[in-house]
Amino acid sequence: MDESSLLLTEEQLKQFENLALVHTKTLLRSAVRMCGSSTEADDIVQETLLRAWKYWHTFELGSNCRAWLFRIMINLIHRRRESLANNSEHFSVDEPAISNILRFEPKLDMDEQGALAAVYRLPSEYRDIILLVLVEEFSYKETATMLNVPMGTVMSRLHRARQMVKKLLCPDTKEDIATA
Amino acid sequence: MIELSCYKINNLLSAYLENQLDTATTLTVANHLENCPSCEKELNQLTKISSLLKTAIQQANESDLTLATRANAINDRVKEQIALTIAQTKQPTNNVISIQKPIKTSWIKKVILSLAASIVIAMLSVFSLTYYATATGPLLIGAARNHQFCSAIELSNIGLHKGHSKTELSKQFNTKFPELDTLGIKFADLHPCEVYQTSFLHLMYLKGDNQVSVYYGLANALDKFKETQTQINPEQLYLETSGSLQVGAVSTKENTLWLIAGELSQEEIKAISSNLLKTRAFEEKQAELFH
Repeated sequence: MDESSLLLTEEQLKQFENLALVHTKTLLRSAVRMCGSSTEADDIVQETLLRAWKYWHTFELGSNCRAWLFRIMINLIHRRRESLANNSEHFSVDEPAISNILRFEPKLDMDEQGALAAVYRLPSEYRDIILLVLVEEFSYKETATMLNVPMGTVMSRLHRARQMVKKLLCPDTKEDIATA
Repeated sequence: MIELSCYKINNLLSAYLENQLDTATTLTVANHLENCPSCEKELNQLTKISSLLKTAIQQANESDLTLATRANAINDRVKEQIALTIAQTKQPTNNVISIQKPIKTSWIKKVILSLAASIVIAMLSVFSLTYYATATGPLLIGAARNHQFCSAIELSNIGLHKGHSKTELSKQFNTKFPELDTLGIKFADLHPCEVYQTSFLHLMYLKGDNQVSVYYGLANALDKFKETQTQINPEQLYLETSGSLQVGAVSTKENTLWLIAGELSQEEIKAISSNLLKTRAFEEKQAELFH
């Protein structure tokens, strides 16, 4: 490596630290919620950042670095979920048998604790939407790009997720409003 | 202005809440809401739920005091890895630096794989104890207030068991051993799982080269388990398979619940459950520690 390349790399590294590594805590917070395991979340975030560094030359300066990192992380999480699903014969968090053992169905109260429990009962694609839009406050457009789905899908999934949470927290209410 | 049915308005309420509709549709929805108490009520409920969800998730995050420490540790590892790669790279092409995958020793990989596969069960273990089977019986190594520490203790203990040094492991987990050694032990700190509203003790030991996790239901675990099955027979083993991972659940005649997880055969799980049903030692130890 010649001296000029080293200087360039050092400059890029500084840029990477200032723009990307400042989002590690945010990434970790969401990864824990999406993966459900601290150990796995740490691995995913580390892999996300290393991947981000690898492709740092493709990042457009001035664009939203947090959204760019989330996109990388979500791709990795989806890949892991797919791999877990493909490698499992019966066991899946979303499958009824195991989820029945582990999910339990305590009555949920209309409070923070109930809401948190409700989020964990949602299928992962709905939980992801809630985390990205409501908690991380990404726009529908940014979320759609991250998840590689049309914006309409983001809108309908978020609506459905809210309806499911509502159903879990207020089981007696009607799911759909009567057609006028 | 276009009039929309309540059903259509209802489907637009989420986007309306997030200010994601175009001006014309926003006006249509707003106008409808002014004249429709039913849709207005629906909007109020969705607003309340959104606010609850946001607060709940944020509060849960803020209570995780170690998040910042872990983020710093990840950054340190990433920087270290990048520095290493830069130093090792002799001929970079197009300013792209090749990154090595994070190096994990085989024992860590094995445990992480197992933990990842038993992720949901692991989540239940808000408070955890780690035991090792020894010639004289299980040995209490450490206790954790939450699963994150629990994992660190488990991984560290396995590391120690396999002859890794404390310094090496402290660096690996960015955790000081005195901190791990003094964690917990006081059972006054025990609290039920926030999500599942029940508590488990987590015992872990090595069976040959395999890690075995055993979860002992403390509170109303069996009642919760009963809600999931039409009939629960005491001492009957309920099995689930996940690739190489086996998960078993068995209740005792005394109405407690054991969960067993490990990269084991069904026969081995059956043998462990049979031993668990016979054992009184742990329950005695638990009683001694709790009271």
